[in-house]
Amino acid sequence: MCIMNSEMGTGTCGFKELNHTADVAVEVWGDSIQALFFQAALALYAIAGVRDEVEVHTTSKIMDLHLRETDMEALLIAFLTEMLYYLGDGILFNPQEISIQGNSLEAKLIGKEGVSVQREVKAITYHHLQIDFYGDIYKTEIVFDV
Amino acid sequence: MVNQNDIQMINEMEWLIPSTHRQDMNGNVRIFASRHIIHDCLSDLSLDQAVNAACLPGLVGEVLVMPDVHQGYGFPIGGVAATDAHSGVVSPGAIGYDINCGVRLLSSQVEHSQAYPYLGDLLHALYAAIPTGLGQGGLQSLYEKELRNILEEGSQWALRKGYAGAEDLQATEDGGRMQGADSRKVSERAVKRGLQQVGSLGAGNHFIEVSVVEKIFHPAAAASMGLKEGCVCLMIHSGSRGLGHQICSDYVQQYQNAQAKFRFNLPDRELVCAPIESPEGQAYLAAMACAANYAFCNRQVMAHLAQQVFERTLAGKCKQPYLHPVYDLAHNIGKLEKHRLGKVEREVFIHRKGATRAFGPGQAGLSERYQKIGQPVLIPGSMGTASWVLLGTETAMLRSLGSSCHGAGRVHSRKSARKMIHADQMLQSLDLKGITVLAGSMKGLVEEAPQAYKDVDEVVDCVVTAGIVAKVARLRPLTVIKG
Repeated sequence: MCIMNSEMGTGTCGFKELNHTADVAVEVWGDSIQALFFQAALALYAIAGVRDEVEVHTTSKIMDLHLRETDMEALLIAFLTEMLYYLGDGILFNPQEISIQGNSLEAKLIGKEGVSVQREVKAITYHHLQIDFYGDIYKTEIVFDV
Repeated sequence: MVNQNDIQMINEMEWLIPSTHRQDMNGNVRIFASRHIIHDCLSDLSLDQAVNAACLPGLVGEVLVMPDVHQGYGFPIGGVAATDAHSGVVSPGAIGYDINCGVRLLSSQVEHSQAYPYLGDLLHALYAAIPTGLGQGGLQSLYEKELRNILEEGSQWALRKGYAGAEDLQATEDGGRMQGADSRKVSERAVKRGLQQVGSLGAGNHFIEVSVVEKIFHPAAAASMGLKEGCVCLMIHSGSRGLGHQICSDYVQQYQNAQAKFRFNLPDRELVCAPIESPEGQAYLAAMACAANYAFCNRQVMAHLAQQVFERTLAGKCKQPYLHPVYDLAHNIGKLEKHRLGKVEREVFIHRKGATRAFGPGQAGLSERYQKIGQPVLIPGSMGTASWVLLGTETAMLRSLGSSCHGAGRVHSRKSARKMIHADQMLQSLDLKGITVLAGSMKGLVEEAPQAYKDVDEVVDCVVTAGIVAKVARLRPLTVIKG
């Protein structure tokens, strides 16, 4: 069970913004690799200035996502790049049932259309991206190019 | 982390991290900066990133660091690195996500004293005419075929469609069209992002600024550029928008898989690269040229709109209410160029990320207008501070791979800026200087406050003292539109 406390640096899942000179950096953590990926998507939405919850009952779009990359970091980048791409179309996806096996990911994306953002995120970068596992928690830093 | 002991002083404006600093470096790192700026550099990872950049396979000469340097990802912003044009590599991260982010400057003969009462009208008219801010809002939605024409023709498309005159293309780097563009190397996603954003400013640190020529330092060069002291100018800072970002993302991701195939072992994943002559390398170059052409066309369309607004707003109120192109250049780009390295002239591929070409007089590639005097180098300051017009020199060709700095460079993160600076106080401070700002986002505006950036005058003094560029004119801002 993920106890979330975003922006506060506590709880078993969450994210917080860090200092980075040119861009925006976050630290993300989760009590499972799936939770880490989910929190990373929430961090992306927070940085883009979208609210971090999707009301499932206003669902208008459902999609299946299948990704396969060379390693877990590349998989995270690919996953967030998908979320970012659809956000550019005004679609906010809440990734459900995330399943990660090796370097492959499957997820059910449930989303709503007509969403707007307050900040343009250009890309998700590999800078400082390294998923570590400390004492039951998966953690990484992610730098967004804005 | 690089520390003070790793840096050798060559002179007060030039420093060296030798290739012996780390075993995997293929060349030195040379930094053009004052002692004060070097001290600032040591507080982030910018010099470490420069050292990492020196590990690029096929590196030719030195990695160069400009005084506006700050930490990027993989490659420092304010960095220049050349690789062999045949046996070297191309690294998308060493060019940047906003391919051909760049600057266009237009000049006029309208005296500030005449235009002053109408600057508010001009600001609002520009804001209404040119789409700014996030996501959508391009001039026109295009059919895909037309977009692909833009990707391959750049500003020449704008000329065909009536958004440009011949003098605009003559005043643009590469004539506004980078050769070798192939839109088949651009993903469908990148094309889709580009369809709705032609002629739009974007957000972040992109802006349109009306300024006045405060002081002329080089009268002959200023005359060639149409710059007159006390007269009004207009500057546009923008890039390739979502299309360029997607292209860089696509290739950085694609290249991750290719590093093992090429047996590259780079210290930073954002530096991933491919041999220039490989299919992967050629594909990126073709896509990069598409993004570059998109950005040239984008700035051209916005300039055209700005020219129309300027004339419409000031007609009957000011004499000669026309804007004329000075120059348009890129500061995130990769170029095939010939440079003298030692006693030998070599063809190299130059990565410029947050760095500007600064060709001296007589260089091939300069238009006839600037052959005699050298290339204009445009340095936008941070919001509310001066911008500079400089001139490339022969020394730049000999010392800095024909390159110079590109702006002020950040010193504080966006998070710190939001903590340190209040929007109301900032607007008040700008107002006291006589500067009016229109912005789509107050949060975004605060992140771009001048306190978050280096002192542009100090940055310019560094490159001028190094002999890379010469001063032509200092511009003082009057009104600013922030995306």
